Amino acid sequence: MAHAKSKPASLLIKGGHVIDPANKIDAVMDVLLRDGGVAEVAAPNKIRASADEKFDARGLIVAPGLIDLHVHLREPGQAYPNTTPVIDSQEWVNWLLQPERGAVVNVFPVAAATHASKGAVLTDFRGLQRAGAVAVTDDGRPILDNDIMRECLRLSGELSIPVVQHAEDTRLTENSPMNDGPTSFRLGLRGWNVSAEAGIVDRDVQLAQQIPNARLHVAHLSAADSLKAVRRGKRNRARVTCEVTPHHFTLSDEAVGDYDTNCKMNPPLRSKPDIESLVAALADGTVDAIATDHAPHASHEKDVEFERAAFGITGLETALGLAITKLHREHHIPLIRIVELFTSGPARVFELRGRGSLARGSHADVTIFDPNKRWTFDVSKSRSLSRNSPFDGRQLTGKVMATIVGGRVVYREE
Amino acid sequence: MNKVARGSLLGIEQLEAAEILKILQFARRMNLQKPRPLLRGKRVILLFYEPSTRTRSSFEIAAKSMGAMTTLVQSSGSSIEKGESLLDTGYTLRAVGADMIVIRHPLAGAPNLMAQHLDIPIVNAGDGMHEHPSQALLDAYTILKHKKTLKGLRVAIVGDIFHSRVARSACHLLTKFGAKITLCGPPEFVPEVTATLALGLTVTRMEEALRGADVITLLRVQKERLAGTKLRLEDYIAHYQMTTQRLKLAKRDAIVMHPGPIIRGLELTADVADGPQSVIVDEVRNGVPTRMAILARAGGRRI
Repeated sequence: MAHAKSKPASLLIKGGHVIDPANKIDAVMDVLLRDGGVAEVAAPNKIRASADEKFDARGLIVAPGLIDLHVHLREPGQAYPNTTPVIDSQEWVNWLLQPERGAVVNVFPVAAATHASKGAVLTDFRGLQRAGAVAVTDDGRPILDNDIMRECLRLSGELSIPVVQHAEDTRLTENSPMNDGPTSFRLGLRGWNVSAEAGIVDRDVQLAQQIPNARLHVAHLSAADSLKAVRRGKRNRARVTCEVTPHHFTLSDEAVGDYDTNCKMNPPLRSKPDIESLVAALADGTVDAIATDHAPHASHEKDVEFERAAFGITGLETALGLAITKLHREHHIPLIRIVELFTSGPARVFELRGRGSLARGSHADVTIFDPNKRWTFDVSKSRSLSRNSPFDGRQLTGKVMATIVGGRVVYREE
Repeated sequence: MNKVARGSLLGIEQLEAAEILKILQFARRMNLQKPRPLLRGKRVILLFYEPSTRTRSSFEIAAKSMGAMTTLVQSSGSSIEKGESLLDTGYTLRAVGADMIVIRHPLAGAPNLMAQHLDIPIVNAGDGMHEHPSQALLDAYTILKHKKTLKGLRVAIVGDIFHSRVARSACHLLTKFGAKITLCGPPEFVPEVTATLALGLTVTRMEEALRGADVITLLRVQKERLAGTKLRLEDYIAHYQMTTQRLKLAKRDAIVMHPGPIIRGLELTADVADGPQSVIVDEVRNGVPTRMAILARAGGRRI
């Protein structure tokens, strides 16, 4: 691999403000990474061991490496169900994890829950898990059949592998490219009603409550009504988790304006009251993780009639900035909670051991960010090959300054 | 993405009242017997992805009578059938020398997409359930032939509001001038959300809507739409058909409008369609001067 520099044996991150929710640390500390692991976290200037390299993190936040539960990587070949090929066999999981894929960050495959994601015959959960899959899902093709979902959840309990549901009753959302409401009516578009999401979440939570140890994870939860079922499940000690995307807590369906296809995604942008409910649920712990549903598309898939345009937007580069801008600056959610939603929260959802934490012995994955840096997202300078973001030209506060994976700096803001 | 070319008409929603008045005044000055050659040498493409009789023919006659060359491109028998994208079709028509494109499309927002990527004026001749601006303009033109002003006018719009681009454009236009609009029809076709389109809209029962109305606009009932609901055709006729009897609830000088095509015996009786208060044929006639004004504006004429 071209970018594989020999990694330093040790790296000392000095003077940064460490936020490590898993270990309840929120203070200025030094962090020593050695041999791909976290060796020590200690008060400033207390680490005696020498380091091959130093990173001056004064004025910056030092957090466990951020984890995104929901990314469509789209490497030619692709990396999430609703891909071609569908990752429904061990062979495909193995293929995905080959070093030749060239990933500079850690990639954890999420495999298909049913063969070819057709919702009929379950895949070999055990084999997929052994091959490295951290969860199963049919994502864009939700599991509607009660018996199939029950069977998925039963296996998920036995193996402790989450079933990730894209909650959409597709029988109610045919030809519905955006949220149901005044904007869809104004534009003459069929509305995708929140009940199509809430109904499936409700059913899934009920099933999860009935099945011992069942692991349900609700992907990109978008509607206030869906939160009710998740709260009920959590109250009843069901192993139910959920994620929310930055676009759903930032933009309402009014952003579609006059058919902006960069505001077309599934689930669609919702109403302002839905946003308020999502923000409250992000603050109070109902939501377990912020995930982007990063989904690049070529311009020819977006420069078409709104109803024909592909669903999905990119999100990796704007996620942290949007979370800090909207949740921290505007709604005063503490930074430690936001870091939790990006680190220990998602690590817990997919049971990623030694991730999302700076405990001694954890993987040396660290994200260093400046919570006060103001910047403007310019999609033409995006590192993605795609340009489908509704946040072009948006002013954000908070930016990643460095990404460290396995003790090696793989990204550094100039 | 470009700025939308001057003279484009994508919908009524974004037009200012003053601009609408200018178009209507210009339409009134059109001499149909001896039209001025305001579009001499211009190439007007009529790009129709949906069947149409009155809209297409009146745009074509309007363009030709002002000296334009018109070319009709329809989805069948063109590259559209071979899977060419809307924008590629647009670029092709631009390359052969189109000065403006009049587009009718089954998908909402298709004219907006064209206008965002082409540097020539785009005129919306009806897009999905979104807007039908030339219809709203010719209806306003027709109303003003019978009523002094739009301000304070009581307008009842009856039928399938939800699926109607005619209703959306009419609501935008009439409320900009202070008309009071009541929407009515079966709940499946007139959900609460319809009243959010503009200020000055209310949803009421049929009798209430008709009582004291100055203008009654009937919308076509599409039988295939009924198929998706619990509504039966007989019930629609029983509750919402415009009859001579019901018409008596409205003001004595109320006019009855319909964008066509009408189905006698369904949304209205033949008596009403052919009666003295019906201006349905007038509307079709008024389509020509109104569309002349729209095209002259698109052609860069000061109106």
